[in-house]
Amino acid sequence: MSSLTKVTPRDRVYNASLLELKWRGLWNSVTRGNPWAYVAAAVFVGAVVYGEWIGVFRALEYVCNAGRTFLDAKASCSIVGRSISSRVLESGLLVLAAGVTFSAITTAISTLYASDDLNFLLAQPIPAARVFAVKLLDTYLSAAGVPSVLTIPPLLAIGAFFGAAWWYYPLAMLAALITYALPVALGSSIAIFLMRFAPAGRVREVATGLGVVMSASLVYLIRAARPEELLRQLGQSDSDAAINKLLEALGAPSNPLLPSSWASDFIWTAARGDLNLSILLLTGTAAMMMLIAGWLASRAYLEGWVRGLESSRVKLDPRPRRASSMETALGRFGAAGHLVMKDARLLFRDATQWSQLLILVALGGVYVVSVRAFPIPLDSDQSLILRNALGFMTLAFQGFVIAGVGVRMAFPSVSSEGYGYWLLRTSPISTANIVLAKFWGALPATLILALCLGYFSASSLNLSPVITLSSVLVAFSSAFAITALGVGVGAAVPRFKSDNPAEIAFSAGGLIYMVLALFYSGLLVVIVARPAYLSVINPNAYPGLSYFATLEGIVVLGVLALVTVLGTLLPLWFGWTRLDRFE
Amino acid sequence: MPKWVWHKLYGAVGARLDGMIEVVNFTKRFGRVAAVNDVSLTVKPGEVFGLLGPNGAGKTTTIRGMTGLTRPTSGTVRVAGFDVWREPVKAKGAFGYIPDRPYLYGKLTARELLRFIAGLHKLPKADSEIERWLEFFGLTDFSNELIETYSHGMKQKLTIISAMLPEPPVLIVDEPMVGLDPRAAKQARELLSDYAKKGKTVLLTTHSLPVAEAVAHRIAVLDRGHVLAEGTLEELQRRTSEERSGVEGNTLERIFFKLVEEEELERQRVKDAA
Ligand SMILES: Nc1ncnc2c1ncn2[C@@H]1O[C@H](COP(=O)(O)OP(=O)(O)O)[C@@H](O)[C@H]1O
Ligand SMILES: [Mg+2]
Repeated sequence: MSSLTKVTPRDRVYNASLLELKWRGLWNSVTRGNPWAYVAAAVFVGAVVYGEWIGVFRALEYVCNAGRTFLDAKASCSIVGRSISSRVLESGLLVLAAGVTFSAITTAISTLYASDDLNFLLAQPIPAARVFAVKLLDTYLSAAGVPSVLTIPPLLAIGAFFGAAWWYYPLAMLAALITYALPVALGSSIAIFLMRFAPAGRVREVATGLGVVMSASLVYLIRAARPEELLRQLGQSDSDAAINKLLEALGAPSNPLLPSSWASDFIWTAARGDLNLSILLLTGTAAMMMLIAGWLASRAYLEGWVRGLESSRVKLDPRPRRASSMETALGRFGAAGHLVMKDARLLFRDATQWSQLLILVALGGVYVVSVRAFPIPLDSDQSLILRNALGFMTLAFQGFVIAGVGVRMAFPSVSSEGYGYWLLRTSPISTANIVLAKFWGALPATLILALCLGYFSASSLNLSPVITLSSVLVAFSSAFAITALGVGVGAAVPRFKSDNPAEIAFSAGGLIYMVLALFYSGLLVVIVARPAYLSVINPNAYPGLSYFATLEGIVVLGVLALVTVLGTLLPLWFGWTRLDRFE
Repeated sequence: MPKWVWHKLYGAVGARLDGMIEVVNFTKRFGRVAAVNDVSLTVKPGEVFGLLGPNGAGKTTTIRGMTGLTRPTSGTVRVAGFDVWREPVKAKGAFGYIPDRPYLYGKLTARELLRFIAGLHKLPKADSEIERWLEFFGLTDFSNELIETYSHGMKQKLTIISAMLPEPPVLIVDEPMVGLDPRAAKQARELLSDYAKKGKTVLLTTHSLPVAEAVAHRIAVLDRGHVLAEGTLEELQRRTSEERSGVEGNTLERIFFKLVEEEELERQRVKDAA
């Protein structure tokens, strides 16, 4: 009997699915990760979602009640409010789409052409088109993943506010996702084209240049929408003539040719129950872009990849090149100085790296322009209070901007050693020195940005001396501590083996860093809240900077200094002791 | 006597007496699997020591333990008298390491990389030495090109230069000949032998019997994380021919297979007894 029941082992035929392969890799790394990191990540995501939800809901309540006395009181939202909210939604989608566009081309090049697994995948008996499809998904996730996630809670809040029908939710999300998918498809098409035809070795530079031009034009379009102009008019809307003018200006979307306008148009009307046909335009365009990208890929993906492996050697120059004066100068600081020099070289030779600096400049630019353009009624006591209150708010916001920059500049600085880390690890340089060198290397970028933000927002708002000084001090403090946090947490949970550098920033450690950085910004705000409050409420009690000569002022400065020193040293110390134990 | 004085003395004198590399009861587990199990080795100045074993024997793991890339589960490792986990900077200043896979900064040129190494080791006046080394391996023509354009062998040569540029008293080499063309392999062999002749200490791993036979003064045969035998080539020959008659072992290859075979039989005996 037993011979009958014995089953001949038959080998299962494995039907290779690339998606399943990816999913398995992700699952393996999630199940083997640190559970605390996931708790922190969940808390952070939860806080962001909750914050967005509450913020959008409150904003809608506020805006919808504005101007209600003058116009249709019966409607669920005043016309003015509706117009303003839709314009804000449009600008928001446009800003995020601009961000996606900026990174789409370079991200597409790194995922489509420079991922480590391509050597393996393209040598397998799998059609290149399928590899391309998976890599396109990768590109979408790394270029547009975060904007997509950030957009979903506000869409839900809008739907809930207006009591939208069930079909609003899937369609609104689809519209937002397509809005980000478009720049990704466009970026990938351009990447394929460049890799196939651009001068070899210059592809990344050309791509970055294109990314800058494209996102700069998008930023220009944002400025053209001028959302703050609407707010200003809202503030003065005390005559029928002004309101009529306003409604006229609001009648049409500001950029009728942009997909983000179609999306916001659709979302806005759908929330209130009307199915708008602009979604067809949107999906149609997206489908067409995908077809174009697919067609280009089928013609040029494999060839371009092969071509990308060949270097552009023009003529060898064997003459000895000695150290530059910069290298000699940094070398005076010992091993750490040499490390900073090495990192600077790597940064400026890698387009995907230095393009991060351009993002930083663009971010600062948008920030400063927006603060400047903020509508403030001039010359009155009221305006002084308003300006100072606003200055205090921008001060809180600065920390957020610096944290956002740090997650790209400071956090990956140890992990970016990658597979080459063995060299530092076996060299006579202490981990403390390594971490410190990474800190000094990242500090200039964040410090300059922080000081520019602090100075420009203070000067353009014409703030009181106390708030101006607080703003500069907070800029200093957050640049030091948030950079240290980035480098320290990044050193504590290094990822030397990532296929794609962009994923370092979006790891669980990156989220922990964001939580801590935002917490630190909050702490700073609490510390300077008292002087700011005093100078807003009673500007004449302490003229000039005399507040900081009082005992209270000195205590505030002392606490600020202490928090800065601890906030800088503790994360760095934590980072190097953890990195020391890393193997 | 304060601990550091003792360490200083030990670093200066003790290492001379006991050996420049001392591995004492080194064990490394990955989860429940012991990749290296209770390995002890001593390598003296002027000696080329070969760690020989098949793929997966634990050679790389042992070396990573010496260089501070892996923390021992138990046991200690000292280089020039310094424990690499207790006094990492001193220990790392005393050895040069050539890994099996030459990952280097792709966006630096060879010269920039070597100047960076010189900076990390605080070498004065390294420029002429760098030129000499580039010339030695025929890399001068490519010395201003980015490393990412180099072939595997060129990168391997560059890691050899990186390790030897600071002239460390100890050189730790993982599979030195893999990826080198025959001429470069010969160069590398001679380089290692000459380095030991200058009174320095060289430890190399290899799965290649001819390489071990050609350069190593003493050899340890490693299999599945255990040292099966250790000694000079003659000692190993004597041991294997004494213990069992039959095939007369004189080449290292014979010795090697014989040792592995003995181990296999022993394992079988233990299994049958249980
Ligand atoms: N990081 C690691 N995690 C788990 N197992 C490992 C790791 N590194 C090595 N091993 C295992 O240890 C054993 C010895 O590996 P290795 O030292 O690389 O061998 P060798 O260099 O002699 O070929 C192998 O079985 C390998 O699978
Ligand atoms: Mg090995």
